Amino acid sequence: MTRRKFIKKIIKAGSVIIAGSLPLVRKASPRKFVRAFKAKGTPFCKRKAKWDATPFCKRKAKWEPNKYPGSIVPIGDISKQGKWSG
Amino acid sequence: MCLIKPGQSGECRVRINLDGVLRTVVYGYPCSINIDPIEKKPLFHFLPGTGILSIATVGCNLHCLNCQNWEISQANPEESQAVLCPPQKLVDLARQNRCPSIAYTYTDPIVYYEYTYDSSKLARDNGIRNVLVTAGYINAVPWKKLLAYIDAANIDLKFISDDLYRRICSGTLKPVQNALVLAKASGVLVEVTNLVIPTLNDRPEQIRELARWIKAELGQETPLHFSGFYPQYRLLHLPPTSLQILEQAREIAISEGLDYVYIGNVHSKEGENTYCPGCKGLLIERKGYTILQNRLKNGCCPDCGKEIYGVWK
Repeated sequence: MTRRKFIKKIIKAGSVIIAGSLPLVRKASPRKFVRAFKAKGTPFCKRKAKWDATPFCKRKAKWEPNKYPGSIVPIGDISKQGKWSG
Repeated sequence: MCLIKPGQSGECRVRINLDGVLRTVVYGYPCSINIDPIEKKPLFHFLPGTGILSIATVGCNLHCLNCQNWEISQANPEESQAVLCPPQKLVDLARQNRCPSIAYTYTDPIVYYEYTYDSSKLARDNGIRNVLVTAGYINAVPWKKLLAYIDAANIDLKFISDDLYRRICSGTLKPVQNALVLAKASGVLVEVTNLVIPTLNDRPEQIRELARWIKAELGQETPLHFSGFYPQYRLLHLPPTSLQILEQAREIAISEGLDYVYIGNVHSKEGENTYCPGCKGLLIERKGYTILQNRLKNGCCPDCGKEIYGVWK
């Protein structure tokens, strides 16, 4: 066997191993995390929300026990059909 | 599973590690509370024509690119508005408004599990029934514990492919399938919803595989809803699902042996009605969320007497 043939064989074997292990790597990789973004002008809440540029994984919560971190509003007219799906 | 450092929240955004204790910040704080027609959940085989008190808190354990409620499901609690409504108040509201049932819906009751659990327990004690509208992404032990107080559930089976669950929802298929089987085995009335998204899960072979799995694992009497997709959130580049695709999906599922297959999110004459699997006669005629006629007699077909799967009173 020539050196060139030997190298070709090594490359082929390597490619097969990499291609074969790709699905396994994909399965083993952690779930993708999708960070939600708020579109400009979306009337989600009346309070002006500040955009926090800190990566989600590094954010420190400012929450206190037994206290809702957002704003509390009175119960409105519940007889109206909800605007959300489901 | 999330590894949450002290002071941080998990993927669902509503559970925090506060000095080593995992706490939920949304217990008793729904961001949405409304009375919906039960057909909106969609539940077609559970107390048709009744109103249902529907609640949700912010947060979700999945991050579906097509989420129709992403403004609340993917919101941070600190940027949201909520009302104070502990379980007792929730039950009182249902009774005051003569709602026979409460739905834990819109986002996913699994992220406000403790609130759902306590409320459903209290509601059951007060003669009010409980409905879950969920993606079913939960472990078996807490799921079984919760199911003891649940009367009906609409569970999304978004895809029949693990790869699509990973790519589109950042979840996996197996826990959802397990949750569906467990719910059905627990005696809960189960209806399944599948959102048909063009180019992702609208191929006939995918629909066929989904219908076959439902028939084999949940039984042919399990109602299946094919919902039409509208471009939302991060799938704005895809077109809405055509009525033709949805009708084709319904035909495939019926040909695979499912008894009750519906079409939702679009107007379809036959796809909204319930027909008797025995004599094929019309049982419940619907238009949108309105019941035009209900011919069921004590939960049976008035023509051939076949018992129809559901909770009718």
